[in-house]
Amino acid sequence: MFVLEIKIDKLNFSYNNSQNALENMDLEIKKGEFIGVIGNTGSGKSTLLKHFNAILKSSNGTVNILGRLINDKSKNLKEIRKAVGVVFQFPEEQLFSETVREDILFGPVNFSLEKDEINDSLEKLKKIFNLDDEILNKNSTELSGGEQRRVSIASVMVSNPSILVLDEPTIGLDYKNRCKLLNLLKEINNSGITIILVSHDLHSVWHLLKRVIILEKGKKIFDGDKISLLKNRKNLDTYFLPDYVEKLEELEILEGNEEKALSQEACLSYIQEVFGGDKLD
Amino acid sequence: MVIGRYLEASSFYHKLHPLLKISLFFINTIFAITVNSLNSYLFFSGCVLISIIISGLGLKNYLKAMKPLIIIFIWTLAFQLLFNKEGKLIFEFFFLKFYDKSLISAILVLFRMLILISSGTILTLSTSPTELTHAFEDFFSPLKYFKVPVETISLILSIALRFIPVFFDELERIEIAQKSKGYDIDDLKFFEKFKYYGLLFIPLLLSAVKKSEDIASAMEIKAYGINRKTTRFREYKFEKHDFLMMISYFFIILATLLINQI
Amino acid sequence: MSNKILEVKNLDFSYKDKKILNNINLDFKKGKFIGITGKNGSGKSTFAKLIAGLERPHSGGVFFESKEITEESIHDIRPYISMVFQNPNNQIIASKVIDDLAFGLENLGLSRPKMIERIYETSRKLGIEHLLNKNPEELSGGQKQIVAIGGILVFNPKIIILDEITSMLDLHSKKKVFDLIKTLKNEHTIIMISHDSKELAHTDRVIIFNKGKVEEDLKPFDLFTNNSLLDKYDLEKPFDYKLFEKFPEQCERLGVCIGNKNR
Repeated sequence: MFVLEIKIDKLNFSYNNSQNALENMDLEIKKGEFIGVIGNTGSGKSTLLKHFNAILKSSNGTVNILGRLINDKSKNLKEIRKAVGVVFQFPEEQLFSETVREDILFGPVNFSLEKDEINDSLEKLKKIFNLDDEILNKNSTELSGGEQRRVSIASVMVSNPSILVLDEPTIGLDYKNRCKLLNLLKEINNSGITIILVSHDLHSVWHLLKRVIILEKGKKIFDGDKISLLKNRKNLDTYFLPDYVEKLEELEILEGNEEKALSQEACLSYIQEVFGGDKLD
Repeated sequence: MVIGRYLEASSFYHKLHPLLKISLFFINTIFAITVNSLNSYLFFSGCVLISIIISGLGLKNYLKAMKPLIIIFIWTLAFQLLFNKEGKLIFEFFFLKFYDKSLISAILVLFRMLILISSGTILTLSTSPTELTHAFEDFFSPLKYFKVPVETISLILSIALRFIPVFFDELERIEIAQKSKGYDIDDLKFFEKFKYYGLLFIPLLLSAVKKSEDIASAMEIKAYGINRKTTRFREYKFEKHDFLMMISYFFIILATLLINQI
Repeated sequence: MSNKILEVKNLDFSYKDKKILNNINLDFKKGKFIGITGKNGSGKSTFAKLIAGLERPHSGGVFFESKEITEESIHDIRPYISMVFQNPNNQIIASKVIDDLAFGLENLGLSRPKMIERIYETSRKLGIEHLLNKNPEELSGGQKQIVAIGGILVFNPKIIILDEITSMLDLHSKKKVFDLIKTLKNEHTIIMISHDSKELAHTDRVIIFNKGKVEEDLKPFDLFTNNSLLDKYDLEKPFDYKLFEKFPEQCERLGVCIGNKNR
């Protein structure tokens, strides 16, 4: 297996010869990572995402996915699409089969997977995604929003990708469904699958991320772990930080103690540590 | 009718009264069908091209809008040449026979299409969807006396103009998602391609149903249908350039008809 | 003189033999900011449609300023009760923002000078003057929702109903749109359906629907300090309330914002 799952060197890409959507992009993603890619509209994150499974192919720079060099002449990309599973925004808007089971098996059928392999995958998924036969036999329109979202992700996971890329996975979900989904992603990552989350902000996923990449106008302006991100926050536009981290900043206790702000729980404990025994003055 | 997208600009054509433009479009249509001589077509087409250049609309934009229709032109030409067998045989290629009169007919048909499509393109490039809808409504308003629901039809027209590009975008997104699951039209055999679009249409159709429910609610909330007497926010006035257009158009048509008689 | 701008009496509503709302009785006071929440399928969206006059109750009634909303009276009431919906993509019908703002006023038969005045006043209030000539498809989700709000704000409605208008937006846009809502609450009565605890925490009152009935009707403070209720209705506890729970004495020092608990 490859240690470097995705390696991108000096990638430049523009749509229809207009402005550069991606400029001089360098990126290395190792197996098992849990990465957040953030940026605003126009930052290039959607363009970058589409390079991960070769929907977009460029010859201006090198893109190496799982050991294979991809350029604009590359063909036979099914193996890439199987190994790098991408879930786009509002994936539940793309289901079209009679039953949930068929929707989930759609990918494996296209990838010509072995029947045994498919059945094994499905069995494993049933447990992780909480899908019983009752749900599998329903039509996807009969499911709730949260269920539809999880089914859509299951329909990508069933092909056993080694990398899972998600575009705004929690958008439109309420608190309960968000929590369910994030726990699911944590479990998937724990089983060894690399996860790349593309989003406008890190609010709900902050505690899960190990590494953050920030894009702005097609360029990468930050790539590192949460602690160095927080240490560098003065140089960055930090609209994407969770409110509980902002609170630490507001209370002026973040500086020098960035390692205490890695999750909501941690922030709360830290505030307790600082203000816990104090009397009101 | 041509679906050339509206171009945000300020050419001479952009400034014209939308009702005038739509009327000229229909006159061009009648004209294209009735005129017969090659010379008059050449003259008229020349005028159209020149007007595109001097109006500021831009030959480049015009050609870009016309590009997707080249296929239609080629098919029409081929159809005419292959099935219209009039006049003297001028050229033979295996079993394909080309006759002189049918060649001329083919070219005439081509010109007819060209004028029709060009007028449509100029209209849609220079007139915003809102203006088009209002022009349509005003042009056909006499039909209201025959109980034709002109206002309702023009509303449907405006919603179509507004949301058709959205459906194309949605289709593209669905295609990318399915490609990501290994379902790529390039991998399919010819007949399987029909099934491809059939499948992709399902989520599109569901989305269309949802859209129309939402649009209907939004319209109802904004008091649509309550007052038969609606007022109009946009105002269109006939100005000097409109009269200039009418006069030049009149002379061009006159000249073209004269050439036609010759 | 009654302060009740909207009254719901013995409201029942069914859809295909399934009872969606069961004997709802609620009063809404003028000028308040009311939050409505509940799990999916609790009937809250249907309730919103009923009070907006988009549906008619099967029994019972909705009364705006003591006058019942019926098939006949809805025509006159339209400009006074308005609604913004969840999906930013399906509400702006015209091909230019300014024409969409004009749409509602055209339907009311307003004179052109009055329309122009209202449109410019509203766009100034919302800060969208620079968007007036744009095609709605060029706007971000948040901008679309603000334009959608503009489309009904031109009516100067007395009651504004919001049906989960930020749920499909990213966090940044959510904040922008909600900040705008906060500026509107002084001049309009706002009834907001939301799942978002941070938004509900700013309301004067939270009504919780469950299985077609009103199960709770309380102040945000009483809701967000009650862990069992939050658990029951799958509501997230806002961070400030978590701080309040741990440090009740030090709210001011910690900059905790939990609203006026003594309203």
